[in-house]
Amino acid sequence: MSASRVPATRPTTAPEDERAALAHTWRERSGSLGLLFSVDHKTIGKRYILTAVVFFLLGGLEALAMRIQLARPEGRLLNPDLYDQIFTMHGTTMMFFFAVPVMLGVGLYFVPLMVGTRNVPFPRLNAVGYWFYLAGGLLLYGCFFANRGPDAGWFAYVPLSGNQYSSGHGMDAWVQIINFTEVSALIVAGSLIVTIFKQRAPGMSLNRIPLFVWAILITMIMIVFAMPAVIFAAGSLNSDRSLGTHFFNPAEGGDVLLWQHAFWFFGHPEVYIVFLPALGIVSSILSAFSRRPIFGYTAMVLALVATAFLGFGLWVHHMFATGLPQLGQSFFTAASLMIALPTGVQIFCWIATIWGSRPRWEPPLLFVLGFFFTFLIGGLTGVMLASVPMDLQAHDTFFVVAHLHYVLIGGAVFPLIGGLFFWFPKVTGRFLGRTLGFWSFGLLFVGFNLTFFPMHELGFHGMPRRVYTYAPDRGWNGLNLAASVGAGVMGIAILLILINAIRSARHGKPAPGNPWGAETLEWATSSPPPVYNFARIPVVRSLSPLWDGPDGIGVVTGLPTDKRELLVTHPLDAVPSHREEVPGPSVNPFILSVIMSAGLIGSVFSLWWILIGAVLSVPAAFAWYWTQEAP
Amino acid sequence: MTAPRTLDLDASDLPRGVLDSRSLVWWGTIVMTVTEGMVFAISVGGYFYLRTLSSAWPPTHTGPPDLTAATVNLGILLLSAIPAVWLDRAGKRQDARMVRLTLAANLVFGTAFCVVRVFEFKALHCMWNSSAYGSITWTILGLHTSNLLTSLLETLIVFVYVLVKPIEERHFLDARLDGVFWYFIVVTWIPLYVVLFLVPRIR
Amino acid sequence: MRRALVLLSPCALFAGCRYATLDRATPEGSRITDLHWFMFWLFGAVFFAVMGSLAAALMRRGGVFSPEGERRRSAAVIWGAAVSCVLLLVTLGASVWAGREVATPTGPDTLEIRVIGHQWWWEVRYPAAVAAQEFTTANEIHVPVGRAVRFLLGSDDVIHSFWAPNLNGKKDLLPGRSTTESFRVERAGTYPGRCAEFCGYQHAHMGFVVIAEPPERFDAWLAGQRRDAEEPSNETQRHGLAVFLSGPCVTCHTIRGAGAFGHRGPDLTHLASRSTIAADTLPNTTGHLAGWIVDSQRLKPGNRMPPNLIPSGDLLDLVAYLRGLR
Repeated sequence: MSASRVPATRPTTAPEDERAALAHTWRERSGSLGLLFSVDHKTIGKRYILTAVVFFLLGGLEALAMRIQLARPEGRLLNPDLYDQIFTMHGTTMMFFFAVPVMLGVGLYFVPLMVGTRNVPFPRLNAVGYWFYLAGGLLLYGCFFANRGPDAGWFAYVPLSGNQYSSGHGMDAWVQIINFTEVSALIVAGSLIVTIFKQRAPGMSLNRIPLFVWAILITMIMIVFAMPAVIFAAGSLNSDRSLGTHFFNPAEGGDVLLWQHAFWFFGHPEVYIVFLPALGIVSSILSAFSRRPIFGYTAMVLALVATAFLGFGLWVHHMFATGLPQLGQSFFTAASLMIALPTGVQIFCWIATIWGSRPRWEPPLLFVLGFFFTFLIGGLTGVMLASVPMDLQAHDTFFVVAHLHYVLIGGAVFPLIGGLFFWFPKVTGRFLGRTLGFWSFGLLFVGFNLTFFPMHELGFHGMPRRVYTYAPDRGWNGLNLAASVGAGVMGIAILLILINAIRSARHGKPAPGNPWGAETLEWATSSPPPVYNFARIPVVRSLSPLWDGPDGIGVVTGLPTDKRELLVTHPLDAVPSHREEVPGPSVNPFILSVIMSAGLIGSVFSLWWILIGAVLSVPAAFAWYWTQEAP
Repeated sequence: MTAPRTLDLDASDLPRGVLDSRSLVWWGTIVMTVTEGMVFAISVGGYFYLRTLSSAWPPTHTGPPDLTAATVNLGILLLSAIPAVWLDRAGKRQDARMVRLTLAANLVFGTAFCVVRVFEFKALHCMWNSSAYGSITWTILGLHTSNLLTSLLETLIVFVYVLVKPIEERHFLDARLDGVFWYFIVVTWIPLYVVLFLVPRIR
Repeated sequence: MRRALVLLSPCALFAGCRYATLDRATPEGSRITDLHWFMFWLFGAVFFAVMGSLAAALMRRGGVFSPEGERRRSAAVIWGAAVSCVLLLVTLGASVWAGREVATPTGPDTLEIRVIGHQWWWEVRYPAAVAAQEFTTANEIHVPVGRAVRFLLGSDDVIHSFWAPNLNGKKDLLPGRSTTESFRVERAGTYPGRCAEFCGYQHAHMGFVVIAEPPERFDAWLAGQRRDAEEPSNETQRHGLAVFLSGPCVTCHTIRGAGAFGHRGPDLTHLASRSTIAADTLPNTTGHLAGWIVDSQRLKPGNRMPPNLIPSGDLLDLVAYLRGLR
C-alpha cells in the first residue's frame, strides 16, 4: 500500500480543446453585473464563507466590547441597553450568521469536488439561498446600527421577547432574520443531500464516501429535521407579536415553555449542525497529514449517525431549571451522557490513525491538535452539565459560557481554521504563510484558554451569564480581567490569520493540484479548480482514490462539452444512471430573492409587505420558469 | 493489491433526462416534502402540547368546530387525487393533450378546495387571537393552505407554459412532480382533518 | 493593578478563595459539592488519559501497517469505548443518586414562603393561617436554621430564576406556571442570591439575600414583620410621611398602617429592617436611599421607578421617615 501511495498528478485532465469547450459551456457571466448571475457552487460557496467571515469579525468585535465592559467591575463602556443588544447580536451572529453558514459554504464548495461532479443539482435555487442569507444579515445589522437591535438574547425567551417587554422593531426583525437563515440552510441542505445521493463519481459506493462528505450529508439531514422547529417557533412568536395570537400567553391557554421546547428542539441539534462538519474537516486533515486512511471508517460513520440521532433527544437539558418532572429529566440526562460515547469513539479512532504515523507538523495539524485539547475539555464539561444537580448549579452561569465556547470554538473554529490552512491552496492556488500560521495558532490557543478557562471558575463563584456589570466585592475581578486579556490575545491571533489570508491570496507560494499528497477527489483537479471542476469526471475504486497508484482513478468519457450536463449515478452503488442538464447563470434568483426579502423585511414594519412580496413573487416565479433553458 | 485495470467509462450511451424517481428534481421534491411534513409534525406536536395543558379543549365558549365544510373538502381533495394520478401517468407517457387536460382539472379542484377552505376557517368558531386553541388551529390550517396555494401557483405556471410553448421532455417531468406534490397535500390533509376537526370532539 | 496580579496567581485561583457554589450551608448543597468533586477528579483523569495517548500516538515511530497492528488498534478503540461506557454509567448513577438526595424531604413543619419575581426585584410573602398575620417584604428572605423551607415560585412578568449558590441549585420563576424549590439551612449566616435567567436591562442588579437565623431570632423577626409600620415619632418623620402620602410614592408602594396601598413596587412597611435597597444593589443607608429616591435611573438604569424632583427639605424628612420604618 505504501508503495502505491504516489499521488497521481491531475488524473482527470483532458486535451486542451476539450477543456476550452468546457470552460466556455460552464462559464459565469463576466462583468460586475455578472456577479448577480452566478450559479456555480464554488462561487456561491466562497460567498458564503467570505460573508460568514465578515460576520465572524463583527461578532468578534461584539465579544471584545463585552470583554472590555466586564474587564473591571462597574464598567462604564456600555449601558445595559447596548450591552443587551450586543450580547444578543453576538449570539445571533455567531450561531446563525457565522457557524452554520460557514459550514454550509465549506460544504457547498468541497462536496461537489469530493464526490466528483460539476455543480449542485439546483444551481439557481442555491443562488437564492445565498441571497437570503445576505438579506438576513443586512437586516440584522441595519437594525443594530440604527440602535434598534434585538435585545432579548439569541434564545429569545418569551415573554421577554414578546410584545409587552420588547416592544421595538428589534425583535420583529430578529424573527425575520431567523426565517432568512432557515430558508437558506434548507436550500443548501436540499442541494447537498441530492448531490451526495445522486451525483457521486462512478464507483463511489456508500462505503467509499469520504468522511467529510458523510459528515455534511448527516448534517444536512439534521437541518431538514431541526429547522422546521424553529420555523414553527419563529412563526408563533411573530404572530404573537404582530397578530395577537396566544401561543405563549398563559392567560389565554398558551405556555411560555412551549417556546423553549420548540427553540431547543432546533437549538440543540443546531450545535451538532455546526460541529459535525468540523469533525469531517478533522478527518480530512488527519488522514492527509498522517498519510493513511482514518482508522475505523465504519465506526466513524456510525458514530456520526448516532450523534445526529441522539442530538435530537437532548433538548430538555437546556430546561432542567424549569422544574419538569424528575423522570423526564433522568431520561434526558441519560441521553445527554450517551452522546459522549460516539464522540469518544471518534476521538479514539483518530488517535489510532495518528498512532505511529509520524504526522507532518504543518499548521493544519496543529489546529487539529488544538481541537483535541479544547474540545475534550468542552465535551467533559458537557457531561457534567448533563447531570441535573450539577446543571442546576452551573446553568446560566459563566461555567456554561466556558463550556459552550470550548465546544464551539474548540470543536468548530479550530478545525475550521485548520481547514482554512488545509484547503486555502486548493481554493486560491496559493499556500497560506507557514510561519505566520504557527504564530497565529500559538496566540489563538493561549488566548482562547486564557479567555475561557477562568470562566469555569467564575461560574462556580456564582457569576451569572448576561450581566452587563458586577459589583467589585464579589471576588470576580481578577478572573474577569484575565478573560478580557485573553480575548485581546485571541483578537490578535484572528487578525494575524486575516493578514495571512489577504497577503497569501496574492503573494503566497503557488500550490500544485495536490500539495499535501491527500487522497480525496478535490485534489484530483488543478488548484484552483476550473469552473467545470473536472475536465473528465473521475471513476474511483476505493476510499482513497489518489493513493491507489496511477490506475487508481479512471475517467468518464462521452459527456458532451457543449451542454451543462451532470452525470447522475445510483444512490447506493454509484453506478451511472443517466445524464441530466442543469441551468446556467441567471439573474432570476437575484430578482426573486430581492422581492421576497423586501416582503419579509417590510413585514417588520407592516404585515402588508408579506402580501406585496407574495403577489410580486408570482411574475418572478413565472419568469424563472420561462428561462429554465440553458443559454 | 488488485491488478491494474482501467476504470474508464463511456457515458455517451447513457439516457439523457429521465422522467421518473431517478431524476434530480424528483429527489429535490422529496427533500422539500419531508421538510414540509416535518413542519406539520412539529405544529401538530405543538397542538397536542397545548391541548395537554388546557383544562378545556377547545375552550368552552368556543365549542368544537363544525364538520360540514371540512368533510366536503376532504371529499374534494380525495377526488382530486384522481386527476393527479392521471396527470402523473400522462406525464410518464408524454401525452401532451392529457397533461394539459389534467393540469386544468387539478387547477379546478384546487380552486374549489380553496373556496371551501374559507368556510372551514369559519367553521372553527374562533379567531386566531381568541385563544391559544384558535392560534394553533388557525396556524395549522393556514400552513396547509399556504402549501396548497404554492402548489396551485406551480401548477398554474406549468399549465400556462405548456399551453403557449412547445412541450419538452422536462416539462412532462415537472407535470409529474406537480402530481407528486399534490399527493403530499392530499395525504397530509387526512391526519390534519382528524386533528383539527375530530380531536376537539373527543372529551 | 497589583491586586489584580495577586488574584491572577494560581494560589488565589485554586486555594485562596472558596467557591461560592461549593461552600454549602445545606445538606442538599453538600451533595452537589460531593458530585462536583467526584466529576472533577474523574474527568480530570479522563482528560489526561486521552491527552496522554494522543501524545504517545504522535511520538511513536514505525507506523507500518500490519494485520497484527490493526487488530491491536481495534482492540484499543473497543476497550476505550467500553471504559467510556462504564464511566458514563457510573456518572449517571452518581448524578441520579445526588438528584434524589437533593430532593428535600419536606414535612408538616416545612415553612412555606412565596417568592414572586418582578423586573427587577423579588416580592417575598410569608403566608400564615390567619390572614392578618400574612405579610409581604422584598429582596430579603429570613429563614430559620435547621427547618426545611419550601419556596413557591411565580413570576409577575418575564421568566426569572431563583438562585442562592450556597444553598441549592436554581429554579425558574415562570409566568403562568408554579414551581417550587426547597432546602434546609444548617448554618446561620447571610447568603447572597440572584436572578439567573436573563430578564431584561437590570438582570445584573436583581439580587437578594437569604438570612438564616436560629429559630428564636427568626420568630422574633417574624413577629416584628407582622406588625404594622412604626408610627412617625417626631415632627420630621410626620412631615416625611405626609410627603410620602401626597407624592407619587404612594401609587406604587405599600406601608401597612400608614395608608399606602400601592402594589407595583416593593412593600416598604419595614424598609429600615432590610440591609440593602434596589434588590441587593445598594446598602440601605440614608445617603443611598435619598439618592435612589431622587434619581434611581442613574443608579440602576431602566428600573421602573421614575425620578422624583422633591425639594431637599421634604426629601430629608421623607428619608428620615423611611429610615424609621424598622
